[in-house]
Amino acid sequence: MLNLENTNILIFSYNGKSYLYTPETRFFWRISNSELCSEKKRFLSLKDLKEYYSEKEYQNILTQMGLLKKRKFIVETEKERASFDKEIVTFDHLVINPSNECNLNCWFCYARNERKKENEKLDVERAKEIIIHFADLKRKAKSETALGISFFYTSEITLNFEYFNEMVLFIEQIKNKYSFPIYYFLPSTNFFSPKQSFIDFVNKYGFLTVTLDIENEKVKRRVIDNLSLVKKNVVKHLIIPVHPNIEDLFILYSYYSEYFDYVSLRLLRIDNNHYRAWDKRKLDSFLERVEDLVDHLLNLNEGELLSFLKKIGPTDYISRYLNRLLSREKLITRCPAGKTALSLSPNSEIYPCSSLIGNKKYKLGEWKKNLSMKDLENDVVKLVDLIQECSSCPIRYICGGPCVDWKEKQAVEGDVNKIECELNIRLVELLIYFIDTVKERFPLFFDKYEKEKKVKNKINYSLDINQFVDFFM
Amino acid sequence: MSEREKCGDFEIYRDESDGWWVVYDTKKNKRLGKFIDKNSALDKVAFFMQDEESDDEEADYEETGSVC
Repeated sequence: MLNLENTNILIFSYNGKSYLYTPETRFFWRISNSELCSEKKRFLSLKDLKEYYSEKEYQNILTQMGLLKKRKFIVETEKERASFDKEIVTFDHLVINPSNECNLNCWFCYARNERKKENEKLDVERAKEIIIHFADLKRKAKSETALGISFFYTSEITLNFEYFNEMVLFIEQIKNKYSFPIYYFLPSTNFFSPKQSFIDFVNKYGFLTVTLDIENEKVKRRVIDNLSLVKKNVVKHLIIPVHPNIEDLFILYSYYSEYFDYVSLRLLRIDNNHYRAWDKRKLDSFLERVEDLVDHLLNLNEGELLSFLKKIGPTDYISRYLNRLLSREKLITRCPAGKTALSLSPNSEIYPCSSLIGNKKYKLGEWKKNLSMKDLENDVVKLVDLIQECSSCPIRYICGGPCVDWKEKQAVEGDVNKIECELNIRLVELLIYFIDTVKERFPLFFDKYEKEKKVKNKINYSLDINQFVDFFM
Repeated sequence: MSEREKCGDFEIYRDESDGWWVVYDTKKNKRLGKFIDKNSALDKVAFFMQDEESDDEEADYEETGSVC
């Protein structure tokens, strides 16, 4: 019997509206109560609402919840969880980092510290051997999923483009020997000094991702000038590393959308001793900027809003949460690091993620000719339900748990990074408010968004809890 | 046919010819089933609304590809 009063839910108020979000099914509804809506509030169980309702109203809410439970829209958190094996059965993404070289020294680069060390380089022939080895391991595991291979996450590709070209030719040669598809990805570039061979490749490849330090005027001007070297039909995606002191987000997106087809803001995991590091005060200030962005977007007309959202890129931190809410996607882990994705350092060390390269605590091993999947067993990224502090968090299936790298950078003791938790839960609250308010103004908006962005719209029911419950009575 | 009741992409209505309740997916223009009573039809709508299956493998891959 589900104890409704203690069921794990999220109830919050923002800007005169209140909502109830249920983690297991990821449905949410608008609830009405003027006192509850009067200020920002957050509750994690129904019984916390008692003081805002008369006994009769509260009983009515329990009746509504009972009906939602009967139709399984609200379910009890499962007590028994599938065990999350340390074993790597297969993997889908291999990141090979042949070097740490770069022609810039951006404040946000996660390879900055590694770059100061002796600069090793992964030999081309060894990189080929590693690719074959991992593809063979995947075949041995009878995996049929695709294998994506990325290069140069810890260095600038344009400095070693010939290396990349050789890898591309090699992958083209071997890919037909496997029953699963093998893809390669062109990594992000700083696009500061691209050679003609790189430009030629991009013009053929059809896609360019640039990571830009927007506060470096010299770099910014040159990168924008360099865009003229690329053909018009190349899809241009900009990643902007963002620190908590960033100013107007709407202007930021809009300005760079003039030059790029897509713009993604990536929130930076910054060392705790860096002056841009996240702390509670800066987090609040950043969230105010996100609130301003939401306010601004809600003042656009339907066409303007759709055009704006169309230009937000696939790796944008904020829109990922929007898309997860819309699709009611369930994340059981934060990311595939160490599980279905592995990264290699220039000296052939294996890590779960390129950001963790050099942090020996997370080194999974070194590549060797007889390396087996068993040698790489790890539980760096855990199933969110198995992380004690996450297991009762109402947004656990939207964020998937803590980012291990960010936790390291924040020098957090324990399993979670409270800064990240507060950021994510506030984003979820803001975006639920955003979805509801947009749906009220433009009822078919997210159906159009679904078509444009290929994101499933599963929030296509009445968000008014009374109407929703009435239908199922 | 009784008046259609709508929730999300789904409609239910009573087929007056046989008295059964029909569940209809308005997005796919497809009848999903006929049920002897309204309660069973509503259960079916709830089931379809909660369906977690995704047929968008390409989008999943893109998410996985951009690890950090």
